[in-house]
Amino acid sequence: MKFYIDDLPVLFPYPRIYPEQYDYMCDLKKTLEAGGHCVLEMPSGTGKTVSLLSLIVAYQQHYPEKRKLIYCSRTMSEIEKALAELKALMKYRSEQLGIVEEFRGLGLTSRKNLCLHPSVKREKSGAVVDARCRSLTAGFIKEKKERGEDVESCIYHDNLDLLEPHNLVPPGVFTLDGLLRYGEQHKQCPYFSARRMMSFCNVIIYSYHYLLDPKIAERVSKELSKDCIVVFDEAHNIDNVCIESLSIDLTEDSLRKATRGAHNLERKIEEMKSSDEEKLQNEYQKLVEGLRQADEARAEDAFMANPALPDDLLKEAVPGNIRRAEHFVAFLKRFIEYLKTRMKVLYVIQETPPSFLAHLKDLTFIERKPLRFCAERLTSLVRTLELTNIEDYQPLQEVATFATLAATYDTGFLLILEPYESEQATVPNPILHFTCLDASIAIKPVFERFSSVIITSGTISPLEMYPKMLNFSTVLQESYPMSLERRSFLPMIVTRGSDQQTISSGFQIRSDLGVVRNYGNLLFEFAKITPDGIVVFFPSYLYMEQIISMWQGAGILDQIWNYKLLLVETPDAQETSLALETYRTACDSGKGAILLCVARGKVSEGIDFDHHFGRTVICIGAPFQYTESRILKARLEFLRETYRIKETDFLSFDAMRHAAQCLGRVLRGKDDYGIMVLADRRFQRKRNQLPRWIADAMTDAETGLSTDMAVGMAKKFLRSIAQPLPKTSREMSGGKGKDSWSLQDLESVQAERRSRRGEGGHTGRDEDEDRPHDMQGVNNKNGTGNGHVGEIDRAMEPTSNYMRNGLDEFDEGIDDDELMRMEA
Amino acid sequence: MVMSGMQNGHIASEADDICPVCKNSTYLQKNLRFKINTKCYHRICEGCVDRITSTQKKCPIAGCTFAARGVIPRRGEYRVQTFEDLAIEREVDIRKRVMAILNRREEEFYSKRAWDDFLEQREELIMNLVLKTDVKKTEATLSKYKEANADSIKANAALERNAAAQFESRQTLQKEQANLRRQAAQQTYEDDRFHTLTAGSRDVKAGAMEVIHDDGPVSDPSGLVKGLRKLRPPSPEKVYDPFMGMATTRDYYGLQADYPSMRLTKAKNDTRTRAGGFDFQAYYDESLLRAFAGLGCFIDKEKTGQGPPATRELATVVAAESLPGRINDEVF
Ligand code: SF4
Ligand SMILES: [Zn+2]
Ligand SMILES: [Zn+2]
Repeated sequence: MKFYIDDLPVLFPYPRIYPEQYDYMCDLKKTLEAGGHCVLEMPSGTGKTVSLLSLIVAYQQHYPEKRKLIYCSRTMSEIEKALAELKALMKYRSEQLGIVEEFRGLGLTSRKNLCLHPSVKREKSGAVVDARCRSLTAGFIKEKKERGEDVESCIYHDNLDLLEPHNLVPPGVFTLDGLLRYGEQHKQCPYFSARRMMSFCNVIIYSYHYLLDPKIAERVSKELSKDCIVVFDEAHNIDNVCIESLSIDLTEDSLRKATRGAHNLERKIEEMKSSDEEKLQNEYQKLVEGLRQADEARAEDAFMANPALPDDLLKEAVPGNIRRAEHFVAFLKRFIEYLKTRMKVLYVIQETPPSFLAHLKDLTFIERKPLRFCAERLTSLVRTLELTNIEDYQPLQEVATFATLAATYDTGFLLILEPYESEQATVPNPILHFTCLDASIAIKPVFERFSSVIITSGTISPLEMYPKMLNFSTVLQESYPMSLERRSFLPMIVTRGSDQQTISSGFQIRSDLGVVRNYGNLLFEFAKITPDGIVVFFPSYLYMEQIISMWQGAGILDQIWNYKLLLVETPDAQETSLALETYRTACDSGKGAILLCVARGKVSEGIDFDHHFGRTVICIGAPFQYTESRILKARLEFLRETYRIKETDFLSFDAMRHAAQCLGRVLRGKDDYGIMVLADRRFQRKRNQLPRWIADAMTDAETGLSTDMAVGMAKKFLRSIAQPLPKTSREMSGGKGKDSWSLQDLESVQAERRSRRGEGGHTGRDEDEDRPHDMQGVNNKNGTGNGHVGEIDRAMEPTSNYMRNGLDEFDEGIDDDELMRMEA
Repeated sequence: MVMSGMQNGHIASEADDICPVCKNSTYLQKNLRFKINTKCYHRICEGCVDRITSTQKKCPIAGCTFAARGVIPRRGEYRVQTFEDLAIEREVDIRKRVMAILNRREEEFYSKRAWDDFLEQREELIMNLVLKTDVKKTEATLSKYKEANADSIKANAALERNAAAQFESRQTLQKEQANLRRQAAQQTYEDDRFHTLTAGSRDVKAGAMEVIHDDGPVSDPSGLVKGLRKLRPPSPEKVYDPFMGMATTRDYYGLQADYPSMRLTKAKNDTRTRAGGFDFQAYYDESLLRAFAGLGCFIDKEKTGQGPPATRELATVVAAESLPGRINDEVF
């Protein structure tokens, strides 16, 4: 359907639209116009991606600036889904408009997924594919070939040079699959085609890492202009992605390999000295003069890129003591040897980068300056030496990245040396963690560079936590309720077993037999009444194992087996995918099954249990992080000191976002239904930290339940959902439906809102709160200062729940005129 | 250029730990320790070091060039090695010596280029000594420089020491601050918990001695018993305050008998209002209280912890000082 938001014509590829989709689009448009960042929470299964794409494409095509969209998602399958949506949308647009718009949309994922080279693509590890591809496509390979030398190269890559550089693939949208097929037909590399076409695309869809990981972002995302619209979808874990992208772990083994790499480099330098001295001399000359062609440093075949160096440093010349290749290698060896001695220590060490550097200098005379240039110097050397078996140098590259990071960032990072894997271990297996404590460091360049960054997910509550953690400000934060024709999911909080004993996975009582038995009983009862699949989430593998073996001992498993098949997720990916497959088969067969998994595992993040694959989800215990981890502890302290986020607040936020993720797994659309059970006493008080669409659907009567009460409610719910949906007024008379609107419905809503806006141009604050949420979007859009102030006001409110529950007493009574009138 | 005789600077492992002289090994003697000679970098066990240095023998390793020249090692020449790779050990020793001489500082140079050239030059000299190329010439250059620049070397060494000391004291200071902050945070956390846990169980605690939070264990006046805590008798139970410490005095205004008000005139003159029991005084008081109530509140204080957030630098130190240990997961 086609409708207008203000003056913007939007083509939406479905005949009906959900109210929340419309609101979401309105808010998106507002953000784009205001020029700023926003955080939006949209219930899962309500067509977030398609709303986002339709609006932004409409916006792009309508305005002359044609701002580019960079859409970041987490997994390859999500990228593929988004590309397919985009393709369908563009098809719909061209049908409606009667012309095919000049438009390009491409997705990018790792070489591993896009490679066509017959032997390279068969490598199992992504890093090896990358390294082997680089060996085949490096710049010097081409030069050598031109000189007539016999070198191995990749034909798919070579063919690209025969094409027009700005038109490697025809316009339009390519899914990853489509791109692979096109590449196969035309014998051209899909990976490089996509990468080189990035700057000509209207929409780019790729993984977070291409923007967040500074080591990659430098190369892939450099040319993107400031007015790009950046979207992070499924962003509830974005802080962890940021942190991981800047953290490095070194082990004794990797150091040993790095030493070997350094020895190899030394040998190569000797070889080159006797055969091709000139090349080394050339490199040296360049370094002396501080000539570092920017384009060269960022060439697409770069061995590695610099991790987030400040710009001024990029213009500086390489320090004199590592200019010569042999000096640099000696330097590397010294550094690695130093790290090895550090690893020998048998107690835990935590230190800041400056204190690490001071000690390093004391022992080895290595200064901060050359250390900072380590990564770059190594890249240059590898290129000069024309190394082909790059994968062998991976560990050395890690050490160089480590060096550069440690010498670049004084604050927000920590070095933690853990000599033993666990408390109980007696044989040392040291790991040196260089860990980032501050998620805002990695994402800072993104916020600085792009004017509109949109952070969105199905579960991103509490909204205000994200701007705090990532250190940015928003023009808009919003959480949308889910409009439903009837109640199609039942969230409940169970705090007691049938015997009234409190249940919790809290540390003190987690192995209490009574608690374990109550959990078992809960699962058994739900196994009896739930049709098809049940998904159960535990806080950790350890706890899951413990509880399962206790259930086994107590004979609970035998009872459950009478009703459902039981399957278990394990840390092993292959085993898990087998378990999943079996689970699906069992669900298809009609009897159903139970899948036991872990709240932070693979299943909880990426796998959907729509329809009969998940009718009940049970969270057994609150999914807290492993609280004895030193890294977590350090991060908590840092958060408390810099951002004033209390440890307890962060931990409960983190637990709740994972719980919400788990709950969201079973409800993937409006035609779906399911029961959501949070089984832990501790959920009771954190109810308001759930996403709005779940919290709103939970009445007081559905909290603080005992097992038998919960089962009773679930039975009632299942009975009601089993009734066929009565033909609603919407279908009978064309009136406007509650959960979705046709074009007429939408237009009447728009007209209604417009008229409301007209009469209530100057609404007071109280009224603003009373009005149903969706009215607000429109009201604020008349562009008056009033609307925007209101929005920012909201954004700064400490907790939106607070607002939801009504104003605080004091304000409520302050109208003394009212008082007088009453009394007088 | 191959690393000269130093290639026996082994890649170490357990098998390596056999003394080449007495053939003792860590396999048989767990606490066997090794030392290296700082001249020839040969590595022998501590027992052999004692034996050799007390009886004035040469380095016992076959093929040792120093031994061949009849050099007798002294006890002080043996020390514990720092690096696993003895080639690096030696390189660092050489480096230390050269850096102590060629200790120019960046600010002394006219341009960045000149400084970089100096750095390279120094590296060149060090590598000469390490790889044993042109040793004589290099040593000559060094000693010539040393003689000619005695003053500058001394001055720069002092500067360097100063900088190190400053860094050191800054670090200590930061650590102290960090620990204070951490303790404060811990205190707030425990207080919070204490309040939630003991809410309503006050009487259970009444009568027990209270611990004074202060500077660690003390000893009794005679000094015999150590590790005592300072305790003080419980403070008498306070009278229950239903307003939870809310101020009852009006600090910011004084209440007057009457205020002129257009709006109220009608009501004031209406006997029905009075008859209904309406107290204008109470109304004035309430209105004024509301108007001024916010003045004594400081939002920053009410937020987590006290004082402003730490700088990122300090926060990093706090994180570094954080102690491992279970964080209570009963945060709900
Ligand atoms: S250029 Fe493309 S096809 Fe060739 S090896 Fe690299 S990724 Fe594979
Ligand atoms: Zn010996
Ligand atoms: Zn010797």
